[in-house]
Amino acid sequence: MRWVIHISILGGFMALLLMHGLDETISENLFDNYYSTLNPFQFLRNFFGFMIIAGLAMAAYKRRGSHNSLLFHSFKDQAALVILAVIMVSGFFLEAVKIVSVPAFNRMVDEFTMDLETEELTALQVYWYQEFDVGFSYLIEGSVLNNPELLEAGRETHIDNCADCHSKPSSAFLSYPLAKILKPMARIPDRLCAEEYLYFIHVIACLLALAYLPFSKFFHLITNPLTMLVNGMRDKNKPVPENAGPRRSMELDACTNCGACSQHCSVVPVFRILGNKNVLPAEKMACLKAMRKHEFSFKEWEDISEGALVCTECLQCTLVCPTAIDLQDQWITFKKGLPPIYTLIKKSNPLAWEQVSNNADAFSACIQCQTCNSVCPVVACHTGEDSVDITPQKIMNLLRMGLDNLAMSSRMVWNCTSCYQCQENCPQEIKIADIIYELKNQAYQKLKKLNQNV
Amino acid sequence: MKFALFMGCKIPYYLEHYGTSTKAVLKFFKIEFKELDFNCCGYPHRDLHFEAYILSAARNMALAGKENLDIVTPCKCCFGSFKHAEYWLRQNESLKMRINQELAREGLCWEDQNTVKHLLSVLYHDVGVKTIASKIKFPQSSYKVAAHYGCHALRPSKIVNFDNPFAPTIFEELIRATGARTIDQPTRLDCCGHPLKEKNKRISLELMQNKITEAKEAGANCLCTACTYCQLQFDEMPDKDAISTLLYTQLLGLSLGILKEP
Repeated sequence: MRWVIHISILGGFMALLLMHGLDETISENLFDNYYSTLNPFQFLRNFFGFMIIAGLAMAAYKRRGSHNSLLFHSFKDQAALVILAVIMVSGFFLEAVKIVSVPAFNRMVDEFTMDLETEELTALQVYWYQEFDVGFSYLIEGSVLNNPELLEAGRETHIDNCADCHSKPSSAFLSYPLAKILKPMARIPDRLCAEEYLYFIHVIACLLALAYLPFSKFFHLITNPLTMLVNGMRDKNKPVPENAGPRRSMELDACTNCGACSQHCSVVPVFRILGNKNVLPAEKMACLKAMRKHEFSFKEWEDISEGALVCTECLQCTLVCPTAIDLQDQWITFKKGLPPIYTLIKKSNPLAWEQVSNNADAFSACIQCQTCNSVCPVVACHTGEDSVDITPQKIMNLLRMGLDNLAMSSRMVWNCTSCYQCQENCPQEIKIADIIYELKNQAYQKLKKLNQNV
Repeated sequence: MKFALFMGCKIPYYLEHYGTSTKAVLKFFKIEFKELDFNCCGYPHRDLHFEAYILSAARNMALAGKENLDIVTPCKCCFGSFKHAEYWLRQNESLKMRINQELAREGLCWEDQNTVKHLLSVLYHDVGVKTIASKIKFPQSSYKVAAHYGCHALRPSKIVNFDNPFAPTIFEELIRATGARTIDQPTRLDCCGHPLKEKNKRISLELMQNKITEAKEAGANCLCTACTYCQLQFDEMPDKDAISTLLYTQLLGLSLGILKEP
């Protein structure tokens, strides 16, 4: 389906661009009798347009459909589809409106016919009403328009003046039905100058697409072949480090976020559980692209780092990439560039995170000497119901047993004055007061969660 | 010598005279100071959220760092809070990065570019006991003073690096410089009880009462503090006649002749 979409859109667009968009420079020089209103050009224009519209519909379905949870959509993805759709739809409406347009008919008559008599003109109008669907019904009475004699007279005038350049509009198989619908109400588009407006919309959308090209997905038209060329010529056994940077940057532009890599990524299950989309290669590419544009927040760093760490460098993505992007090289290089703190997780060194209450190394040194108990001013105030229930040394014991919750709910923790006597006097240099602070922090987070659930 | 003067949250409303006396003393010793657009030091939020606390402290340090100034604060809890934040930021790269990313929104950055000092350290190390003693006009010899050190300046000593945590002398030396006598009392390094003021009033008051009783038994007629929170706690003393409490800046101001008897 990917390729059907691609061929439809690319093939249709290129054909339209060359035949219709650049007709003055290409088509007219190639074909002696080129007129946009003659067959086969009239038919082909509709055919290519149909290809694009069908391709766009399929692409939109692929993007919009919920069947593919591995594909994420960015503004660029949508912008590309929308611009193309605007060009196409405005084009078809423009053609339809032109078919039924009376002013367009008059313009042509003024320009290409020699001194038509009034009767001849009326006959021509009748003929064009019947055969070419110009919407005269709001100007000329029905009895005249349906007059077979006039029709016959009009045919002769038509053959003399117009037939060389005009095929029947029915060959414009998409615009023609539209024109048929518009014909009875041709007064409306004529009044609104719809022809001119649609023309401007059509042309401006084309120019917009052209201007937007370097910043859009369409840029892959240029970067894709280049990437394929460069990567095809590159000898992977003889790396040239000087070229690597620009090549990687170009590869980022070549990525169209088609999602083929994500489909074949070997760590998709990890993505399903973690929910971090930066585990998926296509999203990682998007993330790397974004990294060139703005400074990353801590959260973004965290996400992309997690994605980088989860990657097993299995080469699958690189093998399936239709653009021959060396994704493997991107990941390996990116991992080297990660700030060291993000790779700590792999080194399984919990102390590096300086967590004190749930890190065994922080409290397991306790030798139960009870120095903390004897220097604690709060323990000393032990008379009364609101005195502390357990002592600091017992908190160390609770943590050893994994009873964090019990420790958190002890009056000792909440009656700590944070005077740091225990910590200062501890012969084992345990950060007792800091641990108590952290227990309070954790209790607060728990309380907030509980409140959310209520 | 120029510092960024960090008053902390409580002084402006609850303890204005600590602010005025601190400024008077700094001016007397020709120590320039600048008050910046500071926020809370983070100390009150240590119970709640570690990072919220660190960010609060780091922003202040970064703000002063931007002006190339060290911070001086008259409050020991603010001081301890800053020193702790400094410690954790030095220890934990990922924390530092996260905090700096937040700070960057204001164009600030913590890169360990300045340090934080308590007012007593500035007077002791930067001004000097001898200099102070030489300026004394009215020796306060009637005072028999028990120094109250304040936990967060002393401990954990490896982090705050204020004085010997078991046998500190800075405060007593500074008090003696004013002509007052110092009384050694066993609980001088203990907690004033303020942190439990709202959590457990009984223990909070008992801790304070112990100190007062010990100080009186040792023969003191005055408790001297150099911390906003300790002073606020002693202001809560039920029996006002038991012993008088003075902030060190007040004692010093009296002896220098720049303050009137309160």
